Amino acid sequence: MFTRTGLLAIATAAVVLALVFIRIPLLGDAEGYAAEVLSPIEKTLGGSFGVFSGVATTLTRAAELRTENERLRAEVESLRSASVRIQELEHQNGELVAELNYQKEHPEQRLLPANVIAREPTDLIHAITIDKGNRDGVAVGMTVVTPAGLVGRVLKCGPLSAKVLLVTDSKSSVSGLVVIGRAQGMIYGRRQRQLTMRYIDQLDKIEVGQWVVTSSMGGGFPPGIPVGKIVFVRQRDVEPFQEATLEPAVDLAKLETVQVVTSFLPAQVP
Amino acid sequence: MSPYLGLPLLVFLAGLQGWLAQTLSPTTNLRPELLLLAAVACGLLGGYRAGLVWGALAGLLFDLGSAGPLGAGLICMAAVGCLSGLGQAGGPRFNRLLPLQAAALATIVYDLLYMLLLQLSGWGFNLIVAIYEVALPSALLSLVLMPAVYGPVYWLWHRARPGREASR
Repeated sequence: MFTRTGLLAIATAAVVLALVFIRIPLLGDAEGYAAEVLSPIEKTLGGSFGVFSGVATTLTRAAELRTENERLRAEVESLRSASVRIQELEHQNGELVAELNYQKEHPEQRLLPANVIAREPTDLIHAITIDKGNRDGVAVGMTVVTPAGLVGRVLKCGPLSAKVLLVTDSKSSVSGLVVIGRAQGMIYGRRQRQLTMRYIDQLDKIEVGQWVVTSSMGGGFPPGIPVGKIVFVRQRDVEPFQEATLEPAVDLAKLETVQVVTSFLPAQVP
Repeated sequence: MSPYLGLPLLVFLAGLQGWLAQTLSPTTNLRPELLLLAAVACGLLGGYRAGLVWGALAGLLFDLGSAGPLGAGLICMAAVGCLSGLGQAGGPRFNRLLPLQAAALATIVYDLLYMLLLQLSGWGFNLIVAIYEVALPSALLSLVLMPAVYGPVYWLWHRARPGREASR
């Protein structure tokens, strides 16, 4: 009935089935070894298939991803721009709050806010140009301040703009008063953006770190405006007066906005 | 040089000089003297008369933007422009380094003249300190910047000289 080959095939199948279903222990070990050998290969193949699958997905979604990328880039640019705007607004807000506080502290002064629009084209003169002039009530000799202190005084005035001589200019002179000790002197501008206070009485005690404000002497500036802080004192017994070097209260190199004191006109414009 | 080209160039340089002064202020005291360099370039290219006229115009523009006495810049730049015209005497044996040398020398002479006029107007300077801190650094800066100013002025000068068309 069965040929010899047929019988051999049936016997082989029976042996295989027996190995699979009966699970001879020896075969179990063999399976384990086979799994040990095959699993890394399977993993690698599986990973490769995963990569290929990812690439295929990416290729199919390329256009979509490009659009999304462009949208995100635009969003980042927009957020960056908004961040810069917010920083600038914070800066402006800080300045305005300081100006408002200064106005509250000095209700006797009428202040006109102005923007710095230009600087002196030569280093021999320390001056700035502001965007307020005659038409806004600015006049020659008026004091210019910031919440931090004295900036200078109006030197020239046009209808729409005015030139302000900074307190550090060599032509500038301000009558000053040391807050602690009440020592008086004249403050002159000097190069390197510093000030020199001269004609301080030898008997007056002045120290580094003390603040100097404008004095009512001479009537050139409203009294009590901070001018600078003493950074060096030169006192020699052989000289009739002491001399002090001041650091200006205002960072004059970075001025953006100032205020013109329109309620005070000097007694005499030098 | 045609005033239709020269004047806009001077106005542009005045604006640029003012903008640079504003921009450089927080970092350095140095100020580029672009108008002066233009006056020197005109003097070198056109002789003492051209130097005088263009120097006066450049000085006037400088004075309009400055808090200094009106006319001080005009006098100083006209004088320096005129003096620069003497450099043209070299004629065909024109030295390529002459504009650079002239720029440095002219800046020192200009600063000294301007300081003198400021002194007469009530400003006070320690001359030695001012030369050391202002004139010499400015001269070095002019030396560096002169090619950038001389190039355009030279081009405009030979591009549109008054009478060029008439002589053809």
